[in-house]
Amino acid sequence: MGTFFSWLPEDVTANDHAYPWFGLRFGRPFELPYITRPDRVQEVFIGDIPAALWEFVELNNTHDPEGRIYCLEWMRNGVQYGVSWREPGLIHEDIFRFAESIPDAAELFEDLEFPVNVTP
Amino acid sequence: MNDEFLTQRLSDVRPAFAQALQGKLHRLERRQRRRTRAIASALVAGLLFSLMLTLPPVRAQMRWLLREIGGVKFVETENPQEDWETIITSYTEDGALPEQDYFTPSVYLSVLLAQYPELPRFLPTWIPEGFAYSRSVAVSSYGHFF
Repeated sequence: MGTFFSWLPEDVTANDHAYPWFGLRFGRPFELPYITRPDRVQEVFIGDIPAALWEFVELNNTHDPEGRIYCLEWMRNGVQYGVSWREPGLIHEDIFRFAESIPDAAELFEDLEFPVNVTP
Repeated sequence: MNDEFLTQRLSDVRPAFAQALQGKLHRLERRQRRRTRAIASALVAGLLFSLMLTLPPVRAQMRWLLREIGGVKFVETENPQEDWETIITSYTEDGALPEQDYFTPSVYLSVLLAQYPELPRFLPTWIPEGFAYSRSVAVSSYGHFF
């Protein structure tokens, strides 16, 4: 089970293209590894928690070719967290401050099943 | 030629010297034996490795280097867009892509918050200025969104 929340600029409209965004996903750890090119992944720290930072390899190449998509992924108390974001429009410092402000979600997954049958 | 001086009138070797010499010879012998064993092991390992590389499945596996950073696994490949399906299927037991990988329905944030009022306790307390929640939340039973 994983959940993905996203944030958009407040003034974004349907006509806007390639606006900055970022998203947070968290859930039970999954077994499949991420796939990336060599030398793209670096170890960073969110506070004292080790995390992986890498430029995201988008499989279908639909994102803004002028922009860059990044991922930050880490584990805490048995929960896997990931933040994705697009530059320009967001800077790494903002993302790290955002990540550091995430409370511990481990308790949430003890007996929680989100609904999956409601589509906007 | 008189060579008696080689065997006659020689004084006895000091015991300490004899013992030190014997120790030194034993050490040299042990070092030589270890070196021979290390070279033989390296040759055998190299031969086995070369033989393994002739097997196509082993060669295929060697294309990817698995790393783990912060508890998260990564497969590094020069061709991620071409290799991702092969890599994913190699991590499933029956060789098929997991259907859950694509199962990412969305729910209204308001619906989710109504059902799980404790959820905000686990969301970030700081977001960059000028940003707001998207109204929908993706839910995946597998946890993999890409």
